[in-house]
Order: sequence, then structure tokens, then C-alpha cells
Amino acid sequence: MPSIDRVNAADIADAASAMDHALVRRAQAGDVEAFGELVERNRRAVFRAALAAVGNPTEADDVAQEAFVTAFQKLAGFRAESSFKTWLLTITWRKALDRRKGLTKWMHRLAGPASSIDTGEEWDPMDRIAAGGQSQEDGLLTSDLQRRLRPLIASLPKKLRDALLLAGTGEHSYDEIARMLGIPVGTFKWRVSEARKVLKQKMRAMGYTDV
Amino acid sequence: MSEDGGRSSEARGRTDARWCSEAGGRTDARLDLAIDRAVRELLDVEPPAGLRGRVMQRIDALSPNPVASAFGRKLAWLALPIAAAAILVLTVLAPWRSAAPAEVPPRLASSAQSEPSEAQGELAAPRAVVTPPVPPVTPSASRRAPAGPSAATPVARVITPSTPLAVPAPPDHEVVAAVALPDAAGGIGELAAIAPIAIANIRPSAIISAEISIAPLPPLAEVHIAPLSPPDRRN
Repeated sequence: MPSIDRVNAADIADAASAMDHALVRRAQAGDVEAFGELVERNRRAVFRAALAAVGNPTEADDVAQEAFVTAFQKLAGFRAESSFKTWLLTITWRKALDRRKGLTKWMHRLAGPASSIDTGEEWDPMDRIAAGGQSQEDGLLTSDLQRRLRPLIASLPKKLRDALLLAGTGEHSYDEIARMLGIPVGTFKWRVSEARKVLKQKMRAMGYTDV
Repeated sequence: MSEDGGRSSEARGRTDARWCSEAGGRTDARLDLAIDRAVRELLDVEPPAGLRGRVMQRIDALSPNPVASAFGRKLAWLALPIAAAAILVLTVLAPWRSAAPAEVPPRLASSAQSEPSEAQGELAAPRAVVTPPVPPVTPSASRRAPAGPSAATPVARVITPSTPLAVPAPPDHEVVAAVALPDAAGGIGELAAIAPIAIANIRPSAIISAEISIAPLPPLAEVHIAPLSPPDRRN
């Protein structure tokens, strides 16, 4: 059964890539609506990649817009050597890093609540955990862990943190992320593993030995 | 300690170790789970509504067809340095073109010129240098000039062959300066006489070199080498 799931996932990815390429060809011919369709299909992956870098939904939205506009301007130069999604995410990541260089206190943003764009309310991811339907005791324990983990994740070295967050989005394969970052897949996997190891060591040092 | 006690303590140790590793494994697994959930919670944010619309608006604000004009932009990048180079060349050449000497009336040049007489084989001296042309002035043009010293129209005269030069040319030199004659109608005042600028004729030296005679070498003296004595000969 797992093998069938893997085959299906690969087929789905290939079909999505083929669809993207067809839309890219139409957009290169001048069909702007085809590019709009590409935006719709990839907006979530682009937004989450930007959010992993800048840590703030408002700035991630700006970065995503800039990335799409830049991709449109450079569309004539897209050679289909890689998938459109990977190419787009590479642009997104560069834009996000440029934005992050100008940001101060990224760790402060990660540790504190971020603001929502639509409602203007304070966004606290801990609210989602509380509404998860767990037992009260499990909820408290997990909430405590989550609360402790957030600043620890923020305090990781940038390369380890980026790898851990990008792997955790669930939107990209390891190959795509490795190409986006411009590193070998093995290096990326090592960074994810190392980030987890560092976090667990810190959690144990804080007393979470028998969770 | 009895053997039974030792065996039971070993068994207890192995059980404890196994329990620790199992407990550690469970802790590791739960920490991994907590890390995954923390990361997912941080990034589980839907992009704001209307992202596509905002992107399309920004694209519409760009040039009409940026995809098709990519080639045009490349051409512009190539044309810019070429245009800059052309402007630079024109800027450098423009002063030269405005300062270039103009044609002189041929009669003026012939009256001032004197060719030196040299021996055979020498090159002739160069001809006179041209001077700037003087435009002809009609009497009607001078009458139409408005009154007043500030509005006086400059008047010039063509130096005709009948008009003698003020300065006689030396036999070996050529006069390259012109003198403006005063205007009888009272336009601009006459220019002061300009001292002639004499330029010595160029007389290149003869290029035929003197004859080169080669004396024969004296005969070489004969070199006599005495034969080696038998004991000095090499084997």
C-alpha cells in the first residue's frame, strides 16, 4: 500500500508539473490569464515559503506578490530545465531573504503573536492547539511544549531553522527545497536532522526528559 | 553476594536499561511529534484572500506586454552603450570640425606665395595655408542695418586681387594672416593691422646619401702551424 501511495504521489506531482508547463507556454505567448492561473495554483506554496523566511504573514504576502511579479517579468527566460514550481520558489526564497535582511527582531516576531491581515486581530497559533479536541491534560502539556519550542526554533542558526521550517510546510519535496536553497539534498536532510537534534537536546536540558 | 542475588541484580539492570531506552525512545518520539506540530502551527497559515487579484493588478501596471517586450529590453541594453559611444565621438570631433581651416581665395594665395629656387633633388616648398572665407556684402544689406552702435551689423569685404596687401611678403616666407579693410559706411571700426606671421619654408634635407665606398680587405697573413712532434701526437 505505501508503494501505491508513493506512485500516486509521483503521478500527481508529474501531472501538476505538466499542467504548469502548459500554462507557462500560454503565458509566454502573451496570455496573462494563464499566468493568473499559475498564481492560483502556486500561491499557497509561495506564501508558506516566504513565511518560513520572514515569519510574518503581512510581509510574507508582500514577498509573495513581488515573487509572482518578478516571475512574470522573467517568464521569457524560463527554460523548463526544472519545474516551474521549483523555479518560482527559488525566486520567492531570494526575495524573502532580501526582505529578511532588512527585518529586525525576526525572533521577536516568532516568539510573540503575529498580526492577521484580514481581521487585524492578534494571531496566536496557540489558539489552534487549544481548539484541537485533546484532553485537557494533553492539551496543557502540548501547549507548554509548543510554547517552549517556538523561541527555541527561533534561536536556531538560520540555516538549520530555514531547513526545518521549509521541511515542515508540507508543500515542497526535499528535492524542490534543496534546489531552491541551492544545496545538495543530502546537505538539506542533514540540516533538518541537526535542527531536530539541537531542539531535543535543549528540551531535555529544560527538563523534558519523560514527556 | 549470592549468585541468585547477582543474577537477579543483573536481570534488574538489564530491565532498567531497557526501560530507560524505551522511555528515552518514547520521549524522543514525543519530542519529534512536538517539534512537527510546532512547525506546522507556525506555518499553517492560509495566504490572504485576493493574492491573485493583487498580483494581476501589479502586472497590469507594468508595460502592456512585458513578456513580448523582453527582446526589446535586450535591444535597449545593447543600444545604450552604442549610443553613448556615438555621442562621445561626436563631442570629441565637434571642436575639430568648427576649428578646421577654410579655403582661401586662390588669387590671394598666389600673390603671397614665393617658391624658393633650390638645387636639383630638393623638394619644393609647400603652398600657402588657406584662410577663412569672407562673405560678400551688398550695399543694400548695410543700409538695412538698424541705427545705433549696439545694433551695428558687422561688414566685411572680400579681398580682391586688385587690393594690395599691406605687408610685403619676404622672399622665403609666406604670409598667412589677412587684414580687414575699414568700412566706408561706418560700420564696425577697422581692425588693427595684424603683424604678419611668417613661417619659414620647409626645406627637407636631401635624401640621397653620399656614396659609400668599400675598400677591399687586406690579404690575410698565412697561418703556419708547425706539425706536432711524434711524442706530442695524440693516439
